[in-house]
Amino acid sequence: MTAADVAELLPPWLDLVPAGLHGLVTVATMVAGFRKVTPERALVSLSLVMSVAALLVTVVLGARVEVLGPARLDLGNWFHVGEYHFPLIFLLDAQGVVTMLLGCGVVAIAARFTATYLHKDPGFARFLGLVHLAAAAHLTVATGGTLDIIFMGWELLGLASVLLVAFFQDRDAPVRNAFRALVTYRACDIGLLMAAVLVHFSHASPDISVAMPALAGSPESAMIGVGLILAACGKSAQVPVGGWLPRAMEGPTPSSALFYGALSIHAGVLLLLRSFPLLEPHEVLRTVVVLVGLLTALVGTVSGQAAADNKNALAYAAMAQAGLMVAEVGLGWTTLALVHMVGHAMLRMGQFLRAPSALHDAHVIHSGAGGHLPPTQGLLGALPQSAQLALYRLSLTEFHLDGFLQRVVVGPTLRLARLLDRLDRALTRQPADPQG
Amino acid sequence: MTAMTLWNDVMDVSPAHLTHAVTAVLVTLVMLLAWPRAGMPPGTRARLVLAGLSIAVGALTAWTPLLAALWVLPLLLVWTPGQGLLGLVLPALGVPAAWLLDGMGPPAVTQVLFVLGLLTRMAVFPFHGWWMRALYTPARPVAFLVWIIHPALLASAHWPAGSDVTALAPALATLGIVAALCASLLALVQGQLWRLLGMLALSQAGLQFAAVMAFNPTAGTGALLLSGGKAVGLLALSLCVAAVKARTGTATLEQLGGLHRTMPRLAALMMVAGVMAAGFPGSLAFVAEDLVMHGVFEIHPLLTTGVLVVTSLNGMAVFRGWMRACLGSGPLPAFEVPLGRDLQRRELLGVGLCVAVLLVQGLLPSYSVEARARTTAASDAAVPGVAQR
Repeated sequence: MTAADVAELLPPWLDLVPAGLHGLVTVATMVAGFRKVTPERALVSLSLVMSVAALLVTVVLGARVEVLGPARLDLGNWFHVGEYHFPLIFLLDAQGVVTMLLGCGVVAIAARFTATYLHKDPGFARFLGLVHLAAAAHLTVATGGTLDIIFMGWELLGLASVLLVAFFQDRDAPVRNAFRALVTYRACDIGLLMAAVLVHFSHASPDISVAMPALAGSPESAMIGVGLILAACGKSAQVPVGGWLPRAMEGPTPSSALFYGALSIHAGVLLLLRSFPLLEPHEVLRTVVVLVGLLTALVGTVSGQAAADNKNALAYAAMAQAGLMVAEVGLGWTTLALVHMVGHAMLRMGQFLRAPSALHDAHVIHSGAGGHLPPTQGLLGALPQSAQLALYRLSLTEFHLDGFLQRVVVGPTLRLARLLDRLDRALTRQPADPQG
Repeated sequence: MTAMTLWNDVMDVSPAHLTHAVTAVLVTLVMLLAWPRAGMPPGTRARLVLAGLSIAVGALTAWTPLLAALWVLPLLLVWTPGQGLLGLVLPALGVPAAWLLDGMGPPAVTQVLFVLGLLTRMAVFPFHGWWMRALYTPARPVAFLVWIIHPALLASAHWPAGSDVTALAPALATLGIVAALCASLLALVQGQLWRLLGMLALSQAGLQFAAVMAFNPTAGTGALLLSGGKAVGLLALSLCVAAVKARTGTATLEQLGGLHRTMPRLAALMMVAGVMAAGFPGSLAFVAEDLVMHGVFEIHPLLTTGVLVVTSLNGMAVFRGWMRACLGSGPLPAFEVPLGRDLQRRELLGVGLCVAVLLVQGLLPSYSVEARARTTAASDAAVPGVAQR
């Protein structure tokens, strides 16, 4: 019996098992969350067993892809009306396997870290549930064969991310920052959904492995590309909408490591990699992608220099690296971007998880080196003093990008809404703040 | 005339109409069961039952005179003397008057009357004054019920005869989307939970109106599903807000906050209900919005962009309300809720049932979609000009 024969024996629905296992843990933690005493030990065991099982299944799937090549799973239509249908297509290729392996691996690590880090925390079950929801959503994005399926995973990943930023819900700042992240996600996700609708109406196959090359160079491709780039910018914290990322550091360390070191921050890069066949012949769109990526790398690098705490500095570093990956995709270096993504995810996750021990680590390094280390100046240190000061001021305000968005988008929108509200109250004869 | 023929002439028990009627009965029962007693002044229960029954029977009625009577009755049940009669004239009498004048007056007049009647009955922005005022009367639960189950969607099958209405479709669909956009923007800046829910409801009404007026099966099916999905989501949210108001004495966001500490079940269920109402994947509203955005695309791609912006803004508004009320450092001391006053079993059951219905239908939508698609096809065939298209 050859390896190919063994691989062919594997059932096609195995592709969905890793996401399903993580989904099961989410349901279990939700049920446990309604009990007065959290069965912490049982939840951790379940979480670890399921995470490792998902990882093992993914390894098997990877071996199948290696032997038999990409696999396509078509489960028919979820629903349909007349000519419109919502197909359930899943696609497992090398890119998907790498992303799944990354997701399953880092979730297993984060789950183990959480067992100690959040021991006896009242929100333990909630945290674990959201982490596994994010894992299931990430795997859905990785295996989604249509933009609609990717969107479903994309939204749930964003939801889990927002709820984890607001994890410490007794304080106002995490809640405010979670709302900020939600607004950015919801606004940018419009692009992904618009792209999905346009793909449907272009009469191409909804399967992205077919649709993206088929639509390359078509009249719709520019709008689809713009939508996809907007969505990628939101999730991967690219310029000019990346201001939410440093604020998202209010969440617990394992969630910061998982989302902003490993999974969520790379979702945009993954989306661009998936849609690269569509972007490839479009010089203008690719130039936009490269410019956005490089500008983000610059903003992230410079702003990170002035970050006052370790997690914020890591957030800016992650933003800068994601920017470089986006630029790599724009330049057509897709394999490099994929390798960069995996390497960066592992390194950054490790750094985030070590962040609470940063002082201890610094003391160990200092005692090993026999005193303080000389300051590192890097390239920025070579600049004239005035340029350094200007950059410092810019870094403190994140290059005024938030202020720009506030003035151009948020402010006018809210002013319009308040004007409408005043008009409405006057027309419907409602008091300014009716007690209900 | 046999009894069976008479029955067929008077009643329409197609799957979607039956679903509509069953939903009306279930929503009424859930409201009777789960609405806090403090928010139900004397007489409200009787009004609620009467309104629920009239809407349920109205959903199954094909005979225009009976339909007209059942159209007017629920609106009389939400009316209180303080509201003034004038505001109720169009929502109550617009559509019945158009049916009455059908074939007698000029077609343009009946068409305009019919459209205005639909707009006001569905409380599409800015034709929503009567409904928003009703939200601030003791008949608040009845007002929600009357909005939640829209006979207006099914009434579109009884379009008055006359000129080809499909020519009006782009203008009417655009009107619906603009109305939905305005209401979504308004929802984003509300400082009071009832008004926030009201604006979300208006936004849904706008989307439903646009989808119905697109006169195609995809959008029409989406509109009927929205009526079920979004409405049940809003019902769950309104039950949560009623519980907050009953415990704290306020629904003003500035006075609230940190409810998760003393009411964790409420906070969790309100979040899930919000997710369902905002149309996240896995909810019936997600399926409905997907159909609406594809349906209106056939009229113009910009309308789809409008739908996308509306759904995005509604998600933000729902989460803003939930975060301000349930998370954060805490309410003003006067509005503190003591421990042990979380949702009662019947309230938990009511909200939980709504969430379960939305989740099951959202994950397994094919039956719901097919039933509504059949009704939409039958309704559209009865609209002048659509069958010939």
